[in-house]
Amino acid sequence: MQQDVFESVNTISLKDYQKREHLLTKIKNRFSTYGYKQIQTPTFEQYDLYKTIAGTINSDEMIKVIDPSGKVLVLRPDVTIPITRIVATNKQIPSSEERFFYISHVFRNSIVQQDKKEHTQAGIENFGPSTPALDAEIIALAIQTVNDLGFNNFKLEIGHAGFFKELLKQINISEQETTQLKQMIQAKNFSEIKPFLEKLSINTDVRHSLQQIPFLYGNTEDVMKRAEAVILNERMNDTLHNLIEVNELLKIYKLDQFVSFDLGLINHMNYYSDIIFQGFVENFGKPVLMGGRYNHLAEQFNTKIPAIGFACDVDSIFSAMQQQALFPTIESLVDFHISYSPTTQRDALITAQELRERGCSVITHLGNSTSNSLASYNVHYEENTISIRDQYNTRLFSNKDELLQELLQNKEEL
Amino acid sequence: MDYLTLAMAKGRTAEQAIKLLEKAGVHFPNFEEKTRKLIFHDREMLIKLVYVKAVDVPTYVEKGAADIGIVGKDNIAEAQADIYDMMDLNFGKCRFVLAGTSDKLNDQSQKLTIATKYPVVTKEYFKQRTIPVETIKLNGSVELAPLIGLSDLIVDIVETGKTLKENGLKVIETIDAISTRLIVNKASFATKSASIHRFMNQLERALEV
Repeated sequence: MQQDVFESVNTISLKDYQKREHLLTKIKNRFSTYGYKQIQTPTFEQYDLYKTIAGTINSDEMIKVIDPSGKVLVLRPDVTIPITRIVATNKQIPSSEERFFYISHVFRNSIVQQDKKEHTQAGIENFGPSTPALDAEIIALAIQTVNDLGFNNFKLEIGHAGFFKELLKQINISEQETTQLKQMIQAKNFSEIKPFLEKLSINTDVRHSLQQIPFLYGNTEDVMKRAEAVILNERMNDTLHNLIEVNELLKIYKLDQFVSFDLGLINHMNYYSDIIFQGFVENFGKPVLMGGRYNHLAEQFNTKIPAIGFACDVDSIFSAMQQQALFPTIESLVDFHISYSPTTQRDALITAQELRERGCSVITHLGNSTSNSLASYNVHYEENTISIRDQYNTRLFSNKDELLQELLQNKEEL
Repeated sequence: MDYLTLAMAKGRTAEQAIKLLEKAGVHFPNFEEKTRKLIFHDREMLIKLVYVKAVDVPTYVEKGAADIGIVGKDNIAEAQADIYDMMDLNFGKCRFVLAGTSDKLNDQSQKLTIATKYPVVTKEYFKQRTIPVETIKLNGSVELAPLIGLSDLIVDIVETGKTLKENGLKVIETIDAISTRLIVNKASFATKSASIHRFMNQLERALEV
C-alpha cells in the first residue's frame, strides 16, 4: 500500500483547521471594517506575466505546468501582480472600486524548505491616491489586524524603498556589488560595510550616506533627525517628510507605539517604490506581515495606478499563535444528537428537519448508542417516550411536538 | 524585562566568548567549558545562555529560539541565515582559504572537485569567479581529501596554516576573513529592542577596554 502521509507538512488536523478558520475570520472581519471586498485570482497564471515583470519572483521558485497547447503556466506564486493586472485591464471592475482583500494559497519552490510549497496569504491591495493619509491608514489596518489576533508585543518596522534606490542611482557599481551591498545593509553588517564601501570608487557624500543607512533605525523622532544628515537631494527630502507625516497620522490612530523606523529595510520584491513595512511578533524569527507601496507596477499593464498593499503570512501567524497559546478552545459540539429505533424513525427525522430549519446542528443516528457523540443534547426516541439528556439531567417527553416546543424555548435562552 | 536568550558556539571560541562576556558584566557562575549542561543563567542581567554546536547557532537565532548569538563568520556564511550580523567581536580570527598540493585553478581541462565543510561558501565563491566545480561535503579532516585523490582542492578555514603545512598542502587563495560575530534575530531586534541595545552597548564597552 502507498504511504498516505508522504510529507508531514501536507497534513493538517481537523482541530488545527478549525483554528485556522478562526484566525481567518478575525482577519476578514478586520479587513471589512475598512471597506475592503474579497476577490479571488486564478490558480493558474501565465508564466510570461511573471517572467516579464523583472525583479519580483525568482523564476526557479515558480511551479510550472505545461498545458496541452504547450503554453507554460505557473501556479499563482504571488497575489499582488494578478490583482494589479485585473484592476489595470479589467473593464468589469468599476473604477470607483479600489479596495480589495484576498485569502489565497501561493505556490513556490523553496530551496531551504523543499517540502513546503504551499502558503496561505491574507492581504489587501488599495488602488487609491498616493498620499501619506492613505499610507497611514493601511499601516493602521495592518497593526489592528495583528492586534486583533491577541499578540501583545507586535512591532511594525517602517522603511522606504526610495531611499536606498535613490542613493544607488547616484553611483555606478556592478550588479554583483549591488547585491553584496544590499545583503550587508539587510544584515546590518556594520563591520563589513565600511571597508566594502571604501574599496568602491564612488562620491564621498554618497559613501557617507550609504554607510549611515543601516544605522537609521529605532525611535521615530531620533531616526528622522539623524536621517536629515544623509539626505542628498530634494527627492530624498520629500521622502523623509512623507514618513514624518505618516508617523504624525499614526499618533491620531493611537497606534504609533507599535511602530519603529528602519531606513535600512530593503524588500526583496523589487516592485516596491515608496513606503515599505514588515511586522514582527515576539519569539518568531520571520516577519508575519509584509507590505508597501508599489506605484509603478500597473505601468507593466500600460496604465498608471498608484497602489499600496500588504499580506499576512497565515502559516507563520498560525505557528506564532500556537506557540503563544492565543487560540481559544474551540468547541466542536453539535447542538443535537438524535438516535431512534426503526419504528420511531419518522418522528425523529421530522424533528431533526425542524431543528435544522431553525439553524441548529443535528446528527441523526439509528440505534441507541450515544457513546461517541459530542452534542449539547442527546435525544433518544423510543416507542412511547422521548428522553433528552444534557450535561446536567435527563428529561422525558411523550411526543415530539412537546419536545420541540421545549427545545426551541431553550435554544433562545442559549 | 524578559530574559534574553543567547546562543553560544561550543568549541574553539567558547573560552574567549565567556571572557568577553565577563568583561561586559555578564556572568554565568556555573559555566565550565567541558560541561554537559546546556543552559546557564545570569539572573541579574536576565540573560539565558544556551550552549550549542557552532553550526547550529545561526539556526537557533534565525528561528527565534535564541534572540542573539555568538558564532564565527564561517558558520554564518554557510548557513545563509536571515539574521542581523551586527558586531565584530574581534576574536577567533582566521581565514577561508582555497588550498591544495599544487595550484590546479588554471588547469581547466577538467572540472575541479573541491572537498569542504562549507559547500555553500565554496559554490558561491566559484560562481562569482565563473569556474565550474563539483563540491564534496566532508565533516572533518578535509586536508586528507586531496592527498588520497578524493578531490583536487579543498576550501577550509585556517588560523596559522600549520595543519595544511604538515600535510603538504599550501594556500592557493584567501577567500575571506573570518572572526567571531554577534548576530541578532530580526524579530527580537524589533520586539526586544531595549534589552538588545543594552547588551550590545555593554559588549562594545568591553571591547574597547
